[in-house]
Amino acid sequence: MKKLVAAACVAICTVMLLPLLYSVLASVKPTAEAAATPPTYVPHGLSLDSYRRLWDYQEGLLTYLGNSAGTALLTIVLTLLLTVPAAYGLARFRLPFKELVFVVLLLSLIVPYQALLTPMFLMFAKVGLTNSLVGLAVLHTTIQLPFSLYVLRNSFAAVPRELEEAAVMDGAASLQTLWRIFIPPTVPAIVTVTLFAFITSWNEFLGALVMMSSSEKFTLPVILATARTETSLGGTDWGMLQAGVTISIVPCVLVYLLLQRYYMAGLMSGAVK
Amino acid sequence: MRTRQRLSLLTVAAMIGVAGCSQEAESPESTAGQNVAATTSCASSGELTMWERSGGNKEMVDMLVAAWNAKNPDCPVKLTYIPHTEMVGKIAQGIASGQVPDLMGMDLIYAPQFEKAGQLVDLTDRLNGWSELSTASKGHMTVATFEERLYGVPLYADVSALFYNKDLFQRAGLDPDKPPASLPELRTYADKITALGGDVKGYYLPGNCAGCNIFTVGPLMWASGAKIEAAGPGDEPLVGDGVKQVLQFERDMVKAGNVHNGDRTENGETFHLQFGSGKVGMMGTGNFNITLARQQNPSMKFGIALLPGMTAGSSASFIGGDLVVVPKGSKRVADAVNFMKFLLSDDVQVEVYAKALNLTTRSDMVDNKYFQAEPLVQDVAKALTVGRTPYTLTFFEQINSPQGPWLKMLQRAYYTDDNLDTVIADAKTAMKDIAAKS
Repeated sequence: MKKLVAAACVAICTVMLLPLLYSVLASVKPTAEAAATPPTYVPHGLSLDSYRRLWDYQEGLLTYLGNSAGTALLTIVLTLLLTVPAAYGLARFRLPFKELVFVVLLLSLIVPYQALLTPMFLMFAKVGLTNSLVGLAVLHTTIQLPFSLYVLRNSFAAVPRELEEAAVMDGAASLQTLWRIFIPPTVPAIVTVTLFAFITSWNEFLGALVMMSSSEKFTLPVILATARTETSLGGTDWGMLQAGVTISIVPCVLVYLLLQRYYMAGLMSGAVK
Repeated sequence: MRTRQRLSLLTVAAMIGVAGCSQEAESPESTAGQNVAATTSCASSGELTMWERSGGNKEMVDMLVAAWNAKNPDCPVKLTYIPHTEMVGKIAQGIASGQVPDLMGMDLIYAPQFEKAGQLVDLTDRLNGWSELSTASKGHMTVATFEERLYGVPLYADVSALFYNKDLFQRAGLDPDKPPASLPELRTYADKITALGGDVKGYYLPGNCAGCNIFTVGPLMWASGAKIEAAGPGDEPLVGDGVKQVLQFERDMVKAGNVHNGDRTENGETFHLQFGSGKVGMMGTGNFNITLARQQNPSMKFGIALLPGMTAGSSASFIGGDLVVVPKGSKRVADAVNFMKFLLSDDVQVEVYAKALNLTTRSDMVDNKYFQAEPLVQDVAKALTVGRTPYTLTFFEQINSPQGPWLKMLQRAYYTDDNLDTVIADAKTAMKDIAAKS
């Protein structure tokens, strides 16, 4: 039975990993082979030409990596700054209609953010936040808020009330209680929110495309979409595109591997409440 | 009203509508100085911002911008490529919010929609009297004009033609200097090349690419006397025997095994790479394929002829490419017009377009030293004289959409045994419905 389960696991992993592996292999094929039809699965030769082309593509790969990373980090900071206090308040303070407020905040999860993009864009344009990485981070934070609030609020609610009462008895103020009592046991949930905020921002395409209007402000997903139709009649430079895909995967995989221990615990603590 | 407009942004057409209703007043600069004569140099200083779609002729646009920047170091064009699938929406959104570039390249086929919506600066008075315009690509000028007002000039031109592999012609016992002059002749040649066996097929047919088909199969219909798109409400699409004749011709080609099986899934991603593979005897493609095929297959010998119709001597071509236009809200209209003057100047036509073996956008510039040294470019340039560009406000919905009636009709014709009259009638109904809503 164990062997059967193991075989099933290997089969599933293979199905999941093969496209990624194929992407990496395509990125190191020589240019002509990467564009060949029908495609070859295993490279007949190795070349870093695709990465070289991507490195110099338009404003240069470093610019786009920097924009994506900067936006993602700012999104994480803004998300945590907003949702940690909000979730704390909703979980532990006696507020009128707080359940209703929580539900209303969660309702925004059911509205596709694409539907909000245009009004947000027009609003951002009035306050000068378009074509700005700060504006894009604000947009990504907005997308991420409901889910983050949901996870953190449930995690804070799961902290034993006795701990909070003991802190109050010892004279701790609200912020001290949050910092010393609520944050330590909810680190997994905070990491989960961080991870999701990072991945959402890192991969988000449509908002970045709508908000940004000059190439030096584009993020990696936008430039990959541009590179997708690099040649005439919508043709694709497959090698360069796969090199971009490979590079864009790396930070997500690294962040996930570093934080997965916390991530699993955090997601569960949010889910079981 | 505003809320309804915003929601409707989910469609391209509605996006254009929103931009049209929301745009701010034209900047004073855009209307001032209309009587100032344009030059090929910048009138002021500071960066000029320009958007261009990806997926077009990037190399050509890069070269043109580099040439302008070298001449105008105080007024360089800052070029931003926008993913081409998102370009229409991006422009509409930019115009709606007033955040537009100073000028932009636009797939010429979408120009009428923007002109009708009043989103482009009317350049008629500024361009009045330019002698260069009399020889500018007719296809471009047709779509750059709306209700007798002019909104742009050609940025670059792509034309379709019949590329044929001379090596395969020789192996099949055909005269490499005698390309097919009619579709029946093309069929005969294809049969002979396919008979060579192996991976070689006589013909190529992109089975899942609406754009590739209007570019290469559309001219076969035009050359056979047919009309394809409905220009507007009440106009009859798919008129003429040529439509059915060409569909029958293509169906027969598929049934005879003259195309690779894999062609059926071609969605445009690898279309441009097919001829250079050396495994295709003849195919309709564009001038951009000359350089590309040489890079892919340096030893391959090939020739270029006009896309033929059913009868010998008939031919046609699709003139595609981009226009340079000025979006409403542009703050540097005068310099955008100077950039247009620069593009159309004799020097740029020869020393930038022709030198890079790209088509000149003025027909009187075809006779130049670079083309004289390159007969293939001369051959493909002939397509400009028989080419045309469809004019309709609903080109995307009728023709270019992967879910549109044009591709649906072609796929039924190529790969099913459905009655062709029924297939054409269904497509005709769908196209008329679309045009009726324009």
